[in-house]
Amino acid sequence: MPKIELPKIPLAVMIAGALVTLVLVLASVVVGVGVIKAWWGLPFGPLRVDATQPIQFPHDAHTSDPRVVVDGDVTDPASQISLDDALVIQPAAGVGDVVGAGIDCLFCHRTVNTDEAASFPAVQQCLFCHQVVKKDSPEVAKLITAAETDQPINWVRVHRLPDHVQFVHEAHILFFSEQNNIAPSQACSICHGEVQTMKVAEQVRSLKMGDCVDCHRSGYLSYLTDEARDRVETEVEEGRLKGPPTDCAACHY
Amino acid sequence: MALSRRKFLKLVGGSGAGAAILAACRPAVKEFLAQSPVRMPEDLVTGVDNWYASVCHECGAGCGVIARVVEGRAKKIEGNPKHPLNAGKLCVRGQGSVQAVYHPDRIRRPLKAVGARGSGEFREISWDEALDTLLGQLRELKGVAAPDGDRNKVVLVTEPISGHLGMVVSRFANAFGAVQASYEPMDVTVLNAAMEKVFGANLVPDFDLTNSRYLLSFSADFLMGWISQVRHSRGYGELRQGEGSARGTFVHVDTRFSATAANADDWIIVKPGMEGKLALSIAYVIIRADLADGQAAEALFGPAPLVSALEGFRPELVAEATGVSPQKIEEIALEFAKQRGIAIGGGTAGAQTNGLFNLTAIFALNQLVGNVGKPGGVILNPASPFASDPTFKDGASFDRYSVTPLEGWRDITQSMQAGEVSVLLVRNANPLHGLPSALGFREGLGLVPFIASFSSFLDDTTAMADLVLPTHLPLEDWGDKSPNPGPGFQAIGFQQPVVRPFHETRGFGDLLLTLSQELEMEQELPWTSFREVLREGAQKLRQLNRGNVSGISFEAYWNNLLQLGGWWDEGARADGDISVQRLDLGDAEPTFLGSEDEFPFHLVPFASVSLTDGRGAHLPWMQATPDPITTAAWETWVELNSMDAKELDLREGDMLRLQSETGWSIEAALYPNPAMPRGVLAIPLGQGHKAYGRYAEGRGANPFNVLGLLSDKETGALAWGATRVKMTKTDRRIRLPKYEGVVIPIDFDNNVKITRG
Repeated sequence: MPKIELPKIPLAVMIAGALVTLVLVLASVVVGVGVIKAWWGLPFGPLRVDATQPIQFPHDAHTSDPRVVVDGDVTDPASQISLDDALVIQPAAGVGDVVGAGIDCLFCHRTVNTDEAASFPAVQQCLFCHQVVKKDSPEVAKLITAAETDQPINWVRVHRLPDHVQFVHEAHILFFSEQNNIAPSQACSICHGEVQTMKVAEQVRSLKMGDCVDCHRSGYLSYLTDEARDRVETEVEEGRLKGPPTDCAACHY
Repeated sequence: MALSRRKFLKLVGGSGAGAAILAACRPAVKEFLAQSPVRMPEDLVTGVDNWYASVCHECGAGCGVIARVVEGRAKKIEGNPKHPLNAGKLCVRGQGSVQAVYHPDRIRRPLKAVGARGSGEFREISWDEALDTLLGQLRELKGVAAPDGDRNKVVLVTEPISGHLGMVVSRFANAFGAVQASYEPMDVTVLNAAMEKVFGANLVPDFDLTNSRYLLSFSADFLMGWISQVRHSRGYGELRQGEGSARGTFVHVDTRFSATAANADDWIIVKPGMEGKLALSIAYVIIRADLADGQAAEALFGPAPLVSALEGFRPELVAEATGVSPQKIEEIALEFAKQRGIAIGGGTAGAQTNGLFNLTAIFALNQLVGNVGKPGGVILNPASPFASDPTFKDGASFDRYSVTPLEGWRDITQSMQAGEVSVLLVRNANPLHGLPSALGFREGLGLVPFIASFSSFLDDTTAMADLVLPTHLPLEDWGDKSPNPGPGFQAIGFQQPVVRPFHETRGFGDLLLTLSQELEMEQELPWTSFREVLREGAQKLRQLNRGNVSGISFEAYWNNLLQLGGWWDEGARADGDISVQRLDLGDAEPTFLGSEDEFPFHLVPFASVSLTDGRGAHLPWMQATPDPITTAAWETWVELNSMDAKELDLREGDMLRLQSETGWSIEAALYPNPAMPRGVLAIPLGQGHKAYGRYAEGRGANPFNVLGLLSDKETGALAWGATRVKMTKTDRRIRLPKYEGVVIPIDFDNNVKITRG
């Protein structure tokens, strides 16, 4: 048996080689985890879509119920008052800003309960209010410029589904609002999170296939009220109500 | 490197495929796009729609409507399905009424004339200034005017108003001492008088066409606008093809080929003004054949032998005058009596110098066959629940509303010309457009020192005003209206504002109440707002404790009342016993203005389907609605028999000048119609406005201009069908805007071969 002469490798080189291998393995593990996380769920924070919009649109200020800021603190939500009242008492009481315009989601995302897409409001619609409200704000100025120069606003899309999948807002909104007997706008947060508290709208759920299928199998029941859950379960069991479909063609068509 | 052909193809194919694959790796840009367009998409339905019940004010019928309101804008009007009169149906004018709200030429705030009278130059002023100006004029005249003081000092002209607004207007006029005149161009005074004579009722009865099997109509264009078009069209539909009964027969007697005539089984051409003679001839045949209700016949025409009273109307004797053969008269009469049909009359039959005679004779046929108060007959309307209410002690009410006849207008015009009228107040009436030019109303207006108008549009009369105080449109205002004719039982429609006022206008009722406070007339008009007046009326209805509305509190009752669109009680019908009065027939002979030799054509004006007498002319939707017979729109045309046209060498679109003995003339385009009776010119009313917004101004001709000042002998109402005209061809010719004949039809007979097998 011929003797094979192995080359002599200095120890330092071997250690260096081992370290490099370790680093490479670790790096591939990190990348792999990142890829898998992004694939199955949401990517790591800094890798997400930069949700900085061309015009800052604070969802919280527009959608949360009107409250008055006193001494830098938002008053207790229990002391909620109507917007009309808030606007009237504000100057008189000498208190701070009114937080929250209490606008319903459907006022801007008008087709969400009638159409596939939720749709974005026209600039004209923003100006329903902003031709009067906060005209001095630099962000509102951009809006007015857009209207005057006839330029549409291209927002950064925050929520994007994987390829080859269809999603109809209408069916989802109507199911939850009808079964839970709530306003359509109260069903949005199931997927979109508490947008009324977000300054910058962010994605909170993965919205990947696993997420969808989990919900369609049985997860949807956890978003129903106790009363609705019992009823829906019975009705689905008895075949009177068709539960969420789980066949491929439900979304991939 | 030499590039062979094979190599080149490989490279091109490879790079192409590569580009395609690489591009496919990236999602399409549109998937990232989240765009706010600048403008709202037009087809996007925004917001939630609300339907509010109200009352239509486009004609006197008073149909119930529901208005679709989306985000504070009225978008669509439909019939109120709960309202007993129209049961969910609505005519073209009702449907179009929503367009008036958004009319670009609406008066937005009070106007003060700055130029010469009629120059149409106005300056916008504030309401304070406008009210001060008006009150400045009125304060001095309060109490000095009629009826105690000077005659016709202050004249208040309105459209015929009934109900609570009518009460407020009447009280205002009485307390102030103003003469109240209500204006309707196609005078219904004759019809009301005929109802009084024949049925002893001052309300027009309901004609139960639904359960009838035979309808005999005399010049009443009831499918296209006669008094209550929607009610009659519904009933007619049931008469013809209602479920569970045989198709009813409909015979129409008319001097022109109307859309109603086109629907008839039998259209009988009658000579103008001879409808009454024909009706009495029918009565004669019925009595002779012993098919009449004996008691009624005796009560109507005197004791036996009955036929002697009508001897002069034997079919053979009237055949020549009416133009209807004796056989035809007998045929209709016998069928009418056997089927116990309904006879109705209106339109040109009542617009003659013998108008009352005509309508009395026609409606008496109902008494003669004994159909009054019976299903399928004439159902008399009961008095309103407010009939004995002291609030409505005199003046207009739910049970009375007056129309000032031509003779009344002659009186007012003479006063104006004599300088007796100091102030003329006009609201929603356009007498300058509708009164014959020969009356001299325009000249009279020029001599009135102060004219104020309360109209929402700058119509012909308003354009002559010194001050315009625009009032709300019906969709923006409170009100009520009892249907006329009613549905056979007590019914009152309630009108609520369905949108906020679009401009700086005010409600007419509110305005009168404001004026009366300033003029210290609270004694007579103690209310602060017109809504309060209506709520007081609703309180009274609630106290009756019957009808369709309920509510545990008054607020609940009021809300339900407005939600349903009115109050009605199907049990509250007229008394069962119908008294038949002796007919006072009057003069049977019509007279016409102009001799037959010099003025050879009868002018038969008719209400346009969409513009009616002209009040719809400001709306483009109404202008564009084609006439059902000629399919013409946006113009005034003259219908003439095609043979007459051929003899006179006239073609369609030739501009003809029509002149009457008054000396006034109009020009309109010819439409030769093979179905027109000879010697008759039919012309639609509604156009020829000198003002009334961009869509009406200077368009077409106004046939009212040439009418003679003939009036019905008994009531003094304008006989708008009694003028003869002469016709001359001008050298102008236009293309008549119409749908018919625009596409050249295929000549199937000669050019298309039909092969078999």
